[in-house]
Amino acid sequence: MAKQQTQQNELLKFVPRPNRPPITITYGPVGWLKKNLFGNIWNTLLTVAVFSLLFLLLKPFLEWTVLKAVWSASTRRECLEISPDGACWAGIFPWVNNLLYGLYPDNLQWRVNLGFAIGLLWFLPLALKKVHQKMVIALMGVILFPFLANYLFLGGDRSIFHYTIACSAFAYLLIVYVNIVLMYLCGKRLEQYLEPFMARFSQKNTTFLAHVTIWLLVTVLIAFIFRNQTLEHVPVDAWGGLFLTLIISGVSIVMALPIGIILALGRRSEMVIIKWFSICTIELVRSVPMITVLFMSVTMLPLFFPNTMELNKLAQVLVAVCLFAGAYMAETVRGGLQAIPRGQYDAAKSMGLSYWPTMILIILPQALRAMIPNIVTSFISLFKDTTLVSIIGLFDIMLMARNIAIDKNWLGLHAEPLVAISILFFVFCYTMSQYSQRLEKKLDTGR
Amino acid sequence: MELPFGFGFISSTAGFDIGWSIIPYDPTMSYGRVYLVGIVNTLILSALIILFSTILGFVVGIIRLSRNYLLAQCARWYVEFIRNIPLLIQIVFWFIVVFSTLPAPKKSYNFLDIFFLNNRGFYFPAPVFEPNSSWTVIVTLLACICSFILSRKSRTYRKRRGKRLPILYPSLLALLSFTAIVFIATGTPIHWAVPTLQGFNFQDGFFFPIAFSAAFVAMTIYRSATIGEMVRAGIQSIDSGQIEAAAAIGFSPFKTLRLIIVPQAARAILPPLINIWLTIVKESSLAVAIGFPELVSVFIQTSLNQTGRAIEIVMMVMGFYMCTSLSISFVMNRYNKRIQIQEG
Amino acid sequence: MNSELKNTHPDNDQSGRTAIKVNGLNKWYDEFHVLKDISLSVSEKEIIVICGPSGSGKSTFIRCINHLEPYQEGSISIFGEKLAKNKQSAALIRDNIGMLFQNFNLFPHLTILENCTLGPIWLRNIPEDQAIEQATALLDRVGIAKMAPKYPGQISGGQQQRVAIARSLAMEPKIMLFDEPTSALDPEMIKEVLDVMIDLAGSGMTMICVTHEMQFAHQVADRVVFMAEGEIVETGPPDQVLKNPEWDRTSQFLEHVLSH
Repeated sequence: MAKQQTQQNELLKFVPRPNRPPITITYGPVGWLKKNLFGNIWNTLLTVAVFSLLFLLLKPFLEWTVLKAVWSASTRRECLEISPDGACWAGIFPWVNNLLYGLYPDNLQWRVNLGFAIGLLWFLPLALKKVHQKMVIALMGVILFPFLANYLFLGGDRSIFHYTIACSAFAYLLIVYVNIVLMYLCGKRLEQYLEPFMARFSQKNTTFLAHVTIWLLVTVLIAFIFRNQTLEHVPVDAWGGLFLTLIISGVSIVMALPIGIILALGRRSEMVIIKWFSICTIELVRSVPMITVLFMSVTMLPLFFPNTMELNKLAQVLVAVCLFAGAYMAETVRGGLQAIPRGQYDAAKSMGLSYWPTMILIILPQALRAMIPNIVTSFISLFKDTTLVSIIGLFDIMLMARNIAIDKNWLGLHAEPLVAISILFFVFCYTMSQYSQRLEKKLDTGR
Repeated sequence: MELPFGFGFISSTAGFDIGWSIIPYDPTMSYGRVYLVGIVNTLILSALIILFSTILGFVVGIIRLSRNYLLAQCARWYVEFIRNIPLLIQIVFWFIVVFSTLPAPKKSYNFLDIFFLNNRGFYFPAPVFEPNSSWTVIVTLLACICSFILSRKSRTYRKRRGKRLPILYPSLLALLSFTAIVFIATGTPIHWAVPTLQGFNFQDGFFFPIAFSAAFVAMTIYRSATIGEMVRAGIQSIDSGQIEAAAAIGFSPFKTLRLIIVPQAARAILPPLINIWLTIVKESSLAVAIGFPELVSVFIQTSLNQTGRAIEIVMMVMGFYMCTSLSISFVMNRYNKRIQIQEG
Repeated sequence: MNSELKNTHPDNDQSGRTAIKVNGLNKWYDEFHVLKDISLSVSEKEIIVICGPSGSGKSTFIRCINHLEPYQEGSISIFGEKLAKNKQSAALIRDNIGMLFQNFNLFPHLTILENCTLGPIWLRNIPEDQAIEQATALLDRVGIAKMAPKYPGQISGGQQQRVAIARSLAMEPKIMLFDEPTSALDPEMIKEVLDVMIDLAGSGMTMICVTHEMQFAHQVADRVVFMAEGEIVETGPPDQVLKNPEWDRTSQFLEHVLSH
């Protein structure tokens, strides 16, 4: 080759011709319009037809919802007098409080807000970069937060055990935030200040010991501060609206995970009884409608408890929804576990790990991470499905909205409340689904 | 309170009326009959939803892939809106806001004087079979079977000889006219009973009550969005190279669709589609919220309240849904195994 | 210079008729000018190898020839008939041109045999028995008659590409286009596909191959076309273009390819 090139004395120099724009425009906004809307005569006709159809459909809708709508009136009759073919949003406003909190007393609603605020605060650090041990924080949130929330929402005379755990939950959250502030200011965490002190007592696990000590101290302090505060009792019957919807979907998604993991592992178990129990539970629950599971729980659970014991409807519903969500989650978990390559099990085995350490340290963390988008998707469908509890008479947001129509001032106001909560559901579910899709893409590229 | 476990109640008289039933029912009949009425009502509702939501879903899915941006976006937002609003809200909305506000029977919406829509339901003509109609039915069935066999034959002929057999349409015509002759010879024993307004309500014909119509419309729309999304994913899962290869061999777009895209998309779509059909059967129980007498409504609500036999009744209802699901998923698993062999 | 003149006017060539004539072809992806004034004419039974760096537009070019890609300017004619976007052109392409793809693109839902009989049965209205007979003969020719009842998912890449050749041949094309038929294959499978292609070249098929197999080009090509940045840099017999290139761009490319 080299020889031949020396024979050829001069090679012609190749200079690529400059780019020339096409005669017909196929790029930019004009090209886009041409390609996507007015490509040929049919496409153009289609575009015009769809556009006019959209106009015909959206115009009356827009007129009803916005242009001719009534925003303030005191009764439905007044609404109709002002504008007979517009929406009567005025009827929604007096009920907003009930739609959100049900019959929770007005002056105590701060407790609901505080509970949800604490919940948000608990999971907020997970989005921060510098926070360590996010899994621990999340796990603690899942375990401790329900006690604190229940203490706040229910109020009344709770057992000393319940009080202590609620205080410890509060203490834990406080420490997490103090740590975050310290991390950003000094780059050191609270327990690291105490570590040298702890080293005097023990050689091992000084960080952990320091952590627990601080936690215990703060818990006792908080318990002491609030010892005389009693919260007024609000019975479960008064819970309702969006508050109740969120409680049911929140509790069930949190409970669904452990139930789902146990059932999914059970399904792969080598012990025949456990395997068949898991398979039967999963298949049975998945093959029947949710409404029958709800009815089963409401009609059959009382039969298994002594007559003297009073079960509240919310607890029964929660049992049913958790079971239902758990069975579906089991299949999600199974899919996640199947996606883990065999090499991971082999690697764990070659390190000498036995079944449970392999699962907890190697397999489940990977599977759960890959499952997050699916978990979000099941949360969305669960959130939508909670409206079913209105059928068995729980005053969730749906039943509250339907109740507006029997208020004597707003008699027959059906459409507006339904549209209002539809918008609420849409905004929530749509955002969540977009989030889960983004997450999915991120996880796909992360591999 | 403490009832001994047992299914003896099934044969005792139910004593309550059911608003709408395809199979004959009156309050003197037993709880077993009530169970059957519930099952039939559930199956009819779900069958219609399955049929229409699948058709609509395919339309939505194909529109979603349209090259016209505006059309594709319309389909996208249709799907997003429908699937992010709880089904129960949609069912109640159609029932209370749309169907209950329809005019009274006297002022019904009238389509061609045969279909009527009012606040009681949707009325349409029903065929009436007179005693000697069985001949026509038998001949029609025979004609159907014959034309099916003929079409198979002409297809194999086409494959063998490479020529189209021109006898399909003539033979169909002959069979149809033969049926018509039998129909007339036996004295036109089948006719349509058209609903007519008598007093405050319609007589003759058949009707779907508004609860049925609302549940049907809401669930059809809701599931059409899900099916549309699935159809889109199924079609998009086909490699664009397949279409190029088909074009390179020389298939027209239509033949490419028929021979290459549809068979492959069907494989991707069928398993999730059947899952959705199962979901529809289960979901049809939501019609209980607007008082349509399907299985959960007539059995778990009314019958359970009357007899107090919670365990037996809940077991029977769950049993029905389980049998349906498990038998279909059994068939599905067989099908999936067969497909897997091909993919090697 | 003389030889180049001869090659740009292959009408005078000994093979006679012009199979494909491309005149001033220009194509843009949005604002990007992919093909710049491509002109080429291929006479019957001629074997052309197109080579060039990736992104030079060679695949796009042969995809334009059977209208898999739209182009904005220029014309392509097959056996003297100009192609347009209509049914006659589609029939013209279908009756004369077969194409092979990098990823084989076999139909996964059909068996190997059905892949080969689908076209003849549905487009040529050939009786099924006869189509099966022909397909079996073709599969035998490419050496995989045994695989006939299997599905594409069950055989190797090299075998799949040979099935794809048989599938194209079943339509009895006069011209075959090859779009990098061996670049998705393992080295040992490349040979089995190239052998079939060499055999095909010997049978008097008009062929246009986009490939990086220089050995193959040397062995069978009548002409080698070198493309870069969307233009044809030089054209000529393999000995001339591959051994004594006139342009620096060609020699750079060859050095790069041959050093591997």
